[in-house]
Amino acid sequence: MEMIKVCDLAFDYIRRNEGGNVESIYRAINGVNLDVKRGDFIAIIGANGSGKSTLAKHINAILFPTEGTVWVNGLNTSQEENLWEIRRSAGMVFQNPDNQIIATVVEEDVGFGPENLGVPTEEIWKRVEDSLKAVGMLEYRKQSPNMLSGGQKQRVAIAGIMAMKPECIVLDEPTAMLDPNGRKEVISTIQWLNRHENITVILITHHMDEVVNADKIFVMDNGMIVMQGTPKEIFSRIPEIKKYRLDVPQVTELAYELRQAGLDIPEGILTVDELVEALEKLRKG
Amino acid sequence: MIRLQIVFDHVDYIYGMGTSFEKHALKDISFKIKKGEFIGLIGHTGSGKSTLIQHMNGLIRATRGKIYFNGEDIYEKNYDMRSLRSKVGLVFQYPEHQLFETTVYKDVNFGPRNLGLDKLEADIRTYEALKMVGIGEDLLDVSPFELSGGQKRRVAIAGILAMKPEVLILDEPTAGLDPKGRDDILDQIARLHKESNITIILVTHSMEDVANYVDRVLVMNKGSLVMDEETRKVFARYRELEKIHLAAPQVTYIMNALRERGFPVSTDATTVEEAKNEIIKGIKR
Amino acid sequence: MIRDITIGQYYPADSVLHHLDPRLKLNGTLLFIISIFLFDTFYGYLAVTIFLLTVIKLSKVPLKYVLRGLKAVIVILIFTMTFNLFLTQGDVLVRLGFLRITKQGLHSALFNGLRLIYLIMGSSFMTFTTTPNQLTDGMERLLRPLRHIKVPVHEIAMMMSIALRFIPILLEETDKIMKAQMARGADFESGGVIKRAKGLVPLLVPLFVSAFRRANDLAMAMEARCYRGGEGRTKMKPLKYSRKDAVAYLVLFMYFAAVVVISIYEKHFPYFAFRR
Repeated sequence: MEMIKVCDLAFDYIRRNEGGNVESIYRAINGVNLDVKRGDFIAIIGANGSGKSTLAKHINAILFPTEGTVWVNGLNTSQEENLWEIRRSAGMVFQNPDNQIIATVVEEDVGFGPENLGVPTEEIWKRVEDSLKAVGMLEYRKQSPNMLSGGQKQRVAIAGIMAMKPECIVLDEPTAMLDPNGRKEVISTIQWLNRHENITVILITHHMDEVVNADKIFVMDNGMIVMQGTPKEIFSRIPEIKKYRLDVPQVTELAYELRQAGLDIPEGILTVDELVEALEKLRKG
Repeated sequence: MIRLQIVFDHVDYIYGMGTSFEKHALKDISFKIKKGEFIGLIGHTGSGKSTLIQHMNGLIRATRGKIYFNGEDIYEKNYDMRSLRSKVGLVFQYPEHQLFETTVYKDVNFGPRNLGLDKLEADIRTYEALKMVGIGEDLLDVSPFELSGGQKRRVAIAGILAMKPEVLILDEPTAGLDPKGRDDILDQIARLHKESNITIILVTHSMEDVANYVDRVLVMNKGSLVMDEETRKVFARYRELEKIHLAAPQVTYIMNALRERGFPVSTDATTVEEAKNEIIKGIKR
Repeated sequence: MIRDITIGQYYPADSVLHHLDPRLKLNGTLLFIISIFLFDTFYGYLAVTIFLLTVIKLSKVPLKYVLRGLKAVIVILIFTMTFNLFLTQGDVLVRLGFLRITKQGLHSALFNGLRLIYLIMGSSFMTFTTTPNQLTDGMERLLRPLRHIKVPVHEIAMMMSIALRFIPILLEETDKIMKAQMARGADFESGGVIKRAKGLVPLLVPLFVSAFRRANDLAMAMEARCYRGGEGRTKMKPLKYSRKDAVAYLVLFMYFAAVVVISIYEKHFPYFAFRR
């Protein structure tokens, strides 16, 4: 059974005027199909307004399909009785680090989820400690979130999700408001959780350098999935990526340009080392 | 003769003096900026960049030291601070968060109106500013809150441009935008710089953006100005940058790695274009 | 400037007061407030002062930090004192044109000012030493009987705790928006009342928009973490009275008793008192 299965999903934002009559309908998602295997690290990328956040909110049962079905852990999100189990098993981290921390002390915030689930007190303490350790924030447990950097706040938010013992974490542009160091912190934290705790990760972003290690990438545009494949496959199609208002890391672009100029360099280069290797091979011929 | 526009002469800023919260936010900062320069200001979060730029238009007053604008001491008794604020336009981070009027037009008009200009002049400046940022006339009467993220940002920048500043300071103008939105804004700023010879100071975390647009870089660390040099010279010192939690663009790393392995390439290149030409030249040798 | 407001803020430290049960601290604060309105005599104030100083010492909150909290109420303080000074009838000490300062006025200005200062200082200790979550937990427990008359006690407590968490964030935001509008030539400082009130629009609109956006985000984040009201919720830090709390209650009652005794005593032996 897949961790997540999305079938022919469509979603309309409906705007109503004061009388309650429909004023306009905006189709944010239009016929999306998506399968995510257990333990995978997948990335959904797309420009602003491409529908990627709307899709993410379906996985956490914050939004419900207008058409089609979403299954999380085998549970249909449209069925009311599944709601809480779905939200527990597919936790969600949002963009703004300030607007998702509820408590004024780090450890109390991490305990918020388990409290809602009715976990016994002693078990909550254990979970809080384990989760803070997993994201490397244990030493900050007594601090006020206001004293933390953006990257640290996001790690606390991730710990808050981990304390609910989820199978999957959906991160909706968790790095959009962070500086480069904060971004690195968050990305390496979720990579660690994916590898060591076997958490399925769905990362939504428009920073391409964050997704080079993903198992699979989905590119969204205009409410549809327009490209999918491994990072190598995706990153070798640069003109197409640019068409969807996205970009590639400098090294990938350079490799592509060199290839265009006639140098014999493999497609889809993702790291500095790969490019240097390739050029060295070429030179030694 | 090119004249000096902004001069910082041994500027110190200490806040919360005498309390337990005392912080030496700027330490002995001296530099000169000439009219028409395109300057990048980089530094780790909390290094004092934001504090520094707020000194430039008098929002924060230095504890010690002097600041000159167009040859005049801005702390002189009769100096007109409000006129300084209109000449040194400061675009804050997420500037769209300050939009408040009912229409795009009125919002951009706010600055010129505050300057006490007559209606005609204020209107002309508003039209010009909106044109500069690429906001079409069809959006003039729309509520700014209905626009997309990128459009809001451009309207907010127009709000500053409408005051016809001689210096434009932008604090991370591309934060949170997707790659295409980022390029659009930066291209517009670069064009503005070329066409009107306005001085630009760009605060950013993106070394790629610095490499692509900026002539000279100021580097801040822990309240001190640690580098003030031409862009390529700053990136040549990439090991020092790493020590203060910054980095050079990926291209710098590629060129240095190639050089180390004996490629006859110059490590000066910082953009994809320059790197491509260098490598092609080097490989043919 | 605006960040100087320390009222309602938690001050992290490891003191005896920080470890006391929030219910005790709530009750204690209430008792303290009652006590300062019980009398207006010299020895009474002495008792309150000693009590307050002990609390400050025990809390490990720096005195400077406590005093900064007063900055926010300085206007109210000056108002109160001026009104008391000039508008109290009695034995005239000084005449300044049509204004008179009376002995009674001086007395009440001094003591009412002091009373206000103590009120602010005393009640801010509750928030200095108690995290908002503990505070709302305590309140929820104390007000629990009201649930029987359909008061949404849990929801109110949650609302308060969230409000407290977002106060510093919104204050910082206010500062930022103010500066951003000043960079656009806005003027918050000069002009008459109407001009100033109008001048606030560019500040208040963005602030409300931001507050709504944050509220919206937060509601979503809470739902995503399975929040569904007070039913079936457990507590990470359930409230339990300990020996320390028993001792503290004892001290509190002794203090209160002392204050009551002093005020009764002074009513009967006014020579000791600084009375009118």
